[in-house]
Amino acid sequence: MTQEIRVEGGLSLNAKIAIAKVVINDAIDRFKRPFVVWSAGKDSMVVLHLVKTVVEERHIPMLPALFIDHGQHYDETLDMLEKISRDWNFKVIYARNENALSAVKGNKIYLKDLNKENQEEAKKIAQEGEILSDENGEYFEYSLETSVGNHILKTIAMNDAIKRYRIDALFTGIRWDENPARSWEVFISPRENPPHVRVHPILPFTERNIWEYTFKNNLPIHPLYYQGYRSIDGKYDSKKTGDKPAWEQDLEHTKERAGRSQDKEGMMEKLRRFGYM
Amino acid sequence: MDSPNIILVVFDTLRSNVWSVYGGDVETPYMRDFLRDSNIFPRPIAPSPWTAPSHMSFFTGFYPGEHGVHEDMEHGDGKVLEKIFEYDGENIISKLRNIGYTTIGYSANPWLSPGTGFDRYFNSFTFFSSEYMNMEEMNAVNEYKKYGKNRYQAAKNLLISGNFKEFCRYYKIHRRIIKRKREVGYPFIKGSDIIVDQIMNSSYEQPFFLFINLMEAHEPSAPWELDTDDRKIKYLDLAGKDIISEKRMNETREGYKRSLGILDRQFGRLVEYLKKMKIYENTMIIVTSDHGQALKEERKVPYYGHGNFLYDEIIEVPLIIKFHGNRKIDIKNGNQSLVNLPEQIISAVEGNFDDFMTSEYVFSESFGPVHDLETLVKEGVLPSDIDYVGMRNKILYPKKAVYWNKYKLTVNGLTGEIDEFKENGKDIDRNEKKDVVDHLREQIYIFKGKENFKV
Repeated sequence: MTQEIRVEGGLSLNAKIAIAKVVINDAIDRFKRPFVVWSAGKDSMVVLHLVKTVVEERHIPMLPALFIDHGQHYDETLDMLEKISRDWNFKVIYARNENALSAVKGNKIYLKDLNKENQEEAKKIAQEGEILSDENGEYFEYSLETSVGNHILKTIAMNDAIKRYRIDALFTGIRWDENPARSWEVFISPRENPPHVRVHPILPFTERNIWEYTFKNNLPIHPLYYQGYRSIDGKYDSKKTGDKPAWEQDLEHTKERAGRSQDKEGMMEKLRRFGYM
Repeated sequence: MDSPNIILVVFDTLRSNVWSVYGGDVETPYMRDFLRDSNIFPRPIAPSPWTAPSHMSFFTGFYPGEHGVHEDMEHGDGKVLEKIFEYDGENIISKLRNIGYTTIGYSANPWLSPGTGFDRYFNSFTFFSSEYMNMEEMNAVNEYKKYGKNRYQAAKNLLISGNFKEFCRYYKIHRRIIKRKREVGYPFIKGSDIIVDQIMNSSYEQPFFLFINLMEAHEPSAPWELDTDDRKIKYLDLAGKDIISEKRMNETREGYKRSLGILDRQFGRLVEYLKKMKIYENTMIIVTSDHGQALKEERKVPYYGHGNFLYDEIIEVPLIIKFHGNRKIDIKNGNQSLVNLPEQIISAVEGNFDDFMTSEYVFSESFGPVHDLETLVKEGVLPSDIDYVGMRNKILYPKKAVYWNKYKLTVNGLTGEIDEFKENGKDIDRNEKKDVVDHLREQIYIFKGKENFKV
């Protein structure tokens, strides 16, 4: 690890909640079309609830959510999405890279089946060894674990949604303690291509804080966390980190994303540069 | 090749469907060569139904709700001036200046003049009042305001009080003004000839960005309109109090069409000049409008003028681009949003000739009456018994329209009700295409963002 992970600075959970609300209020004041990126995972669930609390205090309607549909979501995730958006009364916009999803053949995506833009993006982002070839031509795996898969299925989908809906602010649930690449993030962070800002209200929260907040506020919990997953995304790549429920595991001394291989050194930095959260 | 010059010509208030290029019956023979060298965009939509928000969108690439320069329910355009000055975001004029362009503006629209803030990004900006005869008249009226609310009352009161000397002086001023107006051809000619003369007698360092706003299509379009404040004409008609007769409206419709002929001639002179100077080829010329004009067509609320309503005739405007090198480009299927103008210009300057104008969803929005009705009542422009609050809430409420493929949906922001649902320009039953209506409602819901607008 080359960079020091920023710690929470000794603040109590209540202080962090207060900070999160300041960040959310500031972003709502300053931006015209804010969205909450929501995956039904534990972190974005906390952000969503914090945003809900703030909009209720302000007597304004709930912000819409942006759901990145990479085609590999668990059924439980989609069920939660539907139920919570209905119960909490807000709109969910689905961001999908339709062209890439329609090109999936088995577990492969052939470059020749992609449109020009996706082909160029795939070549731009792919790490060594990620673009393979067989008798049908060049392809990459239909996986979220590679730079190229992640970029095409998630980042491109999200960037398209930002452009299409003219989104100027995206709330996301990243935290300083997740990964060294995230330890340098700031609360409101401008991005280019397409221009918008990322709003990070729960940066100082630790994984432990997330569960404390979840139980304190009785938030819905994705069923997979009970089964031992600590981080959930695609159904082919997420892996259990233990047999105990997520919050009963050794959160402080083991890696949260052991189940997801994506955070190899260097890869996160590159993905971030090209727009990944 | 050297960086292209850029000329952005706004034929203020010109709707597309009067022009033969867009299916209308007014031919523009002086523009024939220009049209042959150009790309005609099939359905361009103005982001707002009046000058200030639309021009701000042309320059910034943002919709009015995004750049913030727009009217509001309570004040009309009363706060717009300060909003122009408050705006500190990006704009294409500064961008072009930063890459070496000389930026020049000529305008006949008072909203676009030194002092309103629109001029501040230009190297030089010149305003020719299209209403300069009116300005003098207004000064005269102001002088006589002490005698009465308007010129008729002032004249009447002067007569009643027996102040014949003053009355005669007042009468003489009016005669002179009317004579001068006739001499310059007002209300048909509103200064486009002077502006083109001026351009032909100036020299600019290349590459230049030249912005021109010509007001010929803007009301007044017929002599009868000169008798009264145009705001009074509009709102009394809307309130059903003093309805514009069909005869007068027809004169206005004729005058409106005639204005395009005048614009054609002046634009033709400009093109000839560019050719003579051998800069036509390497100049990108964009012809468009900031909004159209309703001429009391059959609508839910028939209306003469622009502002607030998002009727086709108010927001469907022309967009014709002659690129440098007279290049023809592939125009995508769909509708064009004029907020994309900066991106189109900058991309073309950089050598990318893709169509950036066409968007999947194209919006237009209004936020209330363009004028501050309460103040108009206080100033005596509108009668004191006019129910301006009711008019605001029932007619001049905020509206948003979305165009998608062949569909258009307009929503009332106070009630969330649908004002218009159209397919290929014709009203259709919303129950027949419920899925389309729901889809378009959702687009407006997303577009409005955190704005307090009911969908």
